[in-house]
Amino acid sequence: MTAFHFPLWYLLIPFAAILLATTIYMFFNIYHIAKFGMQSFGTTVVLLLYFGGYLAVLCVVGIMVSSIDWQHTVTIIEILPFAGNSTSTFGL
Amino acid sequence: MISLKALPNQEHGEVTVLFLRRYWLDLAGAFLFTLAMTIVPIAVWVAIKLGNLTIMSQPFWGPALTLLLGCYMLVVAVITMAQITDYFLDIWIVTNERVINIEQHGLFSRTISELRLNQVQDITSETAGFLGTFLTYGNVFIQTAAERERFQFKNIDNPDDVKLIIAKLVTECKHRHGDASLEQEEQITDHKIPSEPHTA
Repeated sequence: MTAFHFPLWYLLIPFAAILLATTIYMFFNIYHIAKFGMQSFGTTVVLLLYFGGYLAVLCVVGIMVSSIDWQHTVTIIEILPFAGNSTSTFGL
Repeated sequence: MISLKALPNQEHGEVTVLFLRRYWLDLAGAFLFTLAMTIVPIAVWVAIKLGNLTIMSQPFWGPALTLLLGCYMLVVAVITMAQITDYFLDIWIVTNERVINIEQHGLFSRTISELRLNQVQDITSETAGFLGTFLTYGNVFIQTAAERERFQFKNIDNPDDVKLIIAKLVTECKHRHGDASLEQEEQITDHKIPSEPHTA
């Protein structure tokens, strides 16, 4: 009996969808502030905070995600927590 | 963008007297939410470390939890932004001629309404609760005779002072343009009370 294998990068598909959705939502926020906010220094600060904050979060997430070998394949049995497989995808 | 020097439909001689936003405590609430939400994954990580759990080194669950944490961080970031946007775009502007009420409801709904000061019939300030009393923030309600919802300045700083300033502006505006609230009241009364039926 052969176990069902799938590559880890399949997990990146829903992640990419969430990343896209949050990015669009972030741009909606920026659009609203830029279009309907008051013409003031505070508005500029808020816009910079939005860009900076979101970029910082993206960088942290990017570093976390890039440390994983996404070409690695896993079997269904490995999905069960504590199945005893010693292979780490973090290279630990 | 809206400029206080060039308000929409600004009249000649109209000057901005008050520019109000919700009290800073509302914004602090958004930041507290972010702080609390940031502590959650850190607490989970500490629990994993202290419990000597090897789940993060599992071939599937390590990457899956990493992505989940990434999604969580992104969602917390955009929720915080949405809360700041909501705070930032709720604005009340009082000029010597009118009150402009700009309210953002979520990200996809926005209400802009205005009221001429000579239509104002009643102004009420309200401070409620321990924090409201201690930090002097609360609501101001502006009522006209017209059959419409009363204006509400929500959670603003020093509502009593704002009420006094608006009351003074209303008096001045009524001196300049006449009392429009009385005309409105008469119109409403005419509509509501039908004339006496004629008996044959």
